[in-house]
Amino acid sequence: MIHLDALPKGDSAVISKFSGMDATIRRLREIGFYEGGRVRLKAKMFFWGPIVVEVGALSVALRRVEAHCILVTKDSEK
Amino acid sequence: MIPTLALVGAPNSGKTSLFNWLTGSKFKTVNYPGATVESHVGFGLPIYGTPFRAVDTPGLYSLIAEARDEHVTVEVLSQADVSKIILVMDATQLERHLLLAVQLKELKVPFVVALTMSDMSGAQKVDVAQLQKLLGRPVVLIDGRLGGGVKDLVQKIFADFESEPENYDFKLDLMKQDVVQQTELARSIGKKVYAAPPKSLESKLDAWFLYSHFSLLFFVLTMAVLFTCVFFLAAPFMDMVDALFSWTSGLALSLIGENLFGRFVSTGVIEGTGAVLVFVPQIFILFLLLGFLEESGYLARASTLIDRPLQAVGLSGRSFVPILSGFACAVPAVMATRNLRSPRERWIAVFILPFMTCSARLPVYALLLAFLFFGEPAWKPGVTLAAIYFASLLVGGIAALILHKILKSNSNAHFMMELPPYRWPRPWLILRAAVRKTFSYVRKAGPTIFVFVLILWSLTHLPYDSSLNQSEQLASSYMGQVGHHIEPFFKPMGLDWRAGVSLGAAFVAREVFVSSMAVIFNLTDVDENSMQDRLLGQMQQATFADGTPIFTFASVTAMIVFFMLALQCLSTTGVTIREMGSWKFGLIQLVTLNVAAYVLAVATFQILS
Repeated sequence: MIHLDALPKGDSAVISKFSGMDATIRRLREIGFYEGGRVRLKAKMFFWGPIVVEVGALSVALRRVEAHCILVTKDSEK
Repeated sequence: MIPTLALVGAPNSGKTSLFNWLTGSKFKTVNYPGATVESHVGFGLPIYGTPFRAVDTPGLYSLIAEARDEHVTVEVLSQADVSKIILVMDATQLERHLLLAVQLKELKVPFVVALTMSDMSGAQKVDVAQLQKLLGRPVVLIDGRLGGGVKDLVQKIFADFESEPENYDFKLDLMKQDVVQQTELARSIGKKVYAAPPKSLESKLDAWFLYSHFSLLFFVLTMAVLFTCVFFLAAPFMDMVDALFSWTSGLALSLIGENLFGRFVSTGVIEGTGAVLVFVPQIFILFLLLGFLEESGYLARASTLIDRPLQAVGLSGRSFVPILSGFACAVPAVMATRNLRSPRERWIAVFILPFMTCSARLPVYALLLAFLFFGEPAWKPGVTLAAIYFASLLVGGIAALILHKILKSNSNAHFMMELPPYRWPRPWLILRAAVRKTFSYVRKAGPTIFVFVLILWSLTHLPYDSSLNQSEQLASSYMGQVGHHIEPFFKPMGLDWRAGVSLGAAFVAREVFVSSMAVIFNLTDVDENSMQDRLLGQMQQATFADGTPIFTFASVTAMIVFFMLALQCLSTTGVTIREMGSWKFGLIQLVTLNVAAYVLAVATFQILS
């Protein structure tokens, strides 16, 4: 299990669990992250900017600190 | 007993607008994820024939969740009096929204699917018959904007009421599959009923507009166009509004005659109305362009690009557009902060917006810089003006950083941004939204601004004495009297009562400072072109009672510092109070910024003189 912000660019994974502040986790759920959901890391913005993640059919940009609250299992680990 | 229908669905699925169609309720449909925090209850409108109750619940993606808000939904569904569930899914977001359908199906609870269309073209691609078959539940298409299909939905719900038991058991532990299996199932259903548009175009465009170095160039260009339009394109329209109200004001004065009532109607009521409406062109143009950028899908990308530097001062990429707009005018800029999701971020952004060098400061700086660099080459005031622009951004950044450090940060600014697909903007929709926002400004902020303007009018025009000319009238007004008495207050800034009164009058709009100075130095009947030269001459000769000159390098620089920091704009305060829904916020900001401006202006004068 790794944090979403550590996922290499282009890799897919499944969300295992969340860890972090309640408010952050709530926002993550609202925007469409949930346990069991599939994610793919599309890109990391320059200068330590946000990362772009594909969740379902949708692209979401989020900060690395927020992505750090999402723990994922890489497809290869299953 | 009246049957109860519970509306369940993902955030932004169109649940609240369906609820409004069902109940005619006045609950606002808020257009961002997580708008419904509590559940709302309403009664079905008589037009649907059968009496029922409807409950709106907080949006959620999955029934298996730990977050507090989502528990409300599970609790509502577990209540014995809920007889049927309406599952709301957005046709364009089907893949994410199907998980709930899979879970409800597994729990064997009675539900009907309301498939909303946020985008007509997206809905047409869904195979409704196939979806109905795979879920084994009725599916009804709903047009959230016009209410189409709602009647059909209610009929479907009550049609199969007879065939199903009224009560059901809602127990989450009845679920046998885990969420990963359910997600897979939802995905497979999604693939069968909905052909997702190819993502290759989006990826290609993102490669250009989001990830490449070209993206930064494009960002700068787009924002330059946005700023230019709000600043320059709006100017002729603002001049037209201005001219129209000056003309009407003059007409009213000549019709009523030169008396207190005539003055009140012409310079108070009519010009006060003008003070509200003069912002309409800027607000309309800003929201038109913002709507265009948002609809096209670019605004989300632009915010993503600029997020990192703004994160450092407690803001996010979403704050960029309001801050940029602040360089044209703080009034539309304050309204543009509606897009900010985090209340804390919005608080900081609105607080620092008045620091940005708005267009109303330009005539003031033009006068003061012309005084400072009298007879010197033109590039000097030019460079200084550029420095003022940059400094205002710096001051805003520092202020944001201070607020970021002192404000409790249990709700840090988040940056999670859906990147919607690129698409051609729909002009009609954008136009309608811009018109609606402009009207909301006139209706909501208008009265507050108008009242402020009338108060200031009373201070500068009363008590009325018809034997005095305009200059003497201003000098003997309440503002003038107070100005005389508190000259010691302006003295540390190096100013006399006349400059002080002009600073006070400028609260109606900063550029009023220039005309007010002209009035108080008795330069009313000269044409505009020669006015600045005459005024500069008067300023150079003006002295205190002891003969020392008033307007010096030190005092004029202090005034520039004052104008950079002071919130001398009651329109901004008016719109801020309405937008933030708090008098307290508006007044705290008004006092803080002006005290800070005064203190720093005094310090500037004392150091330089």
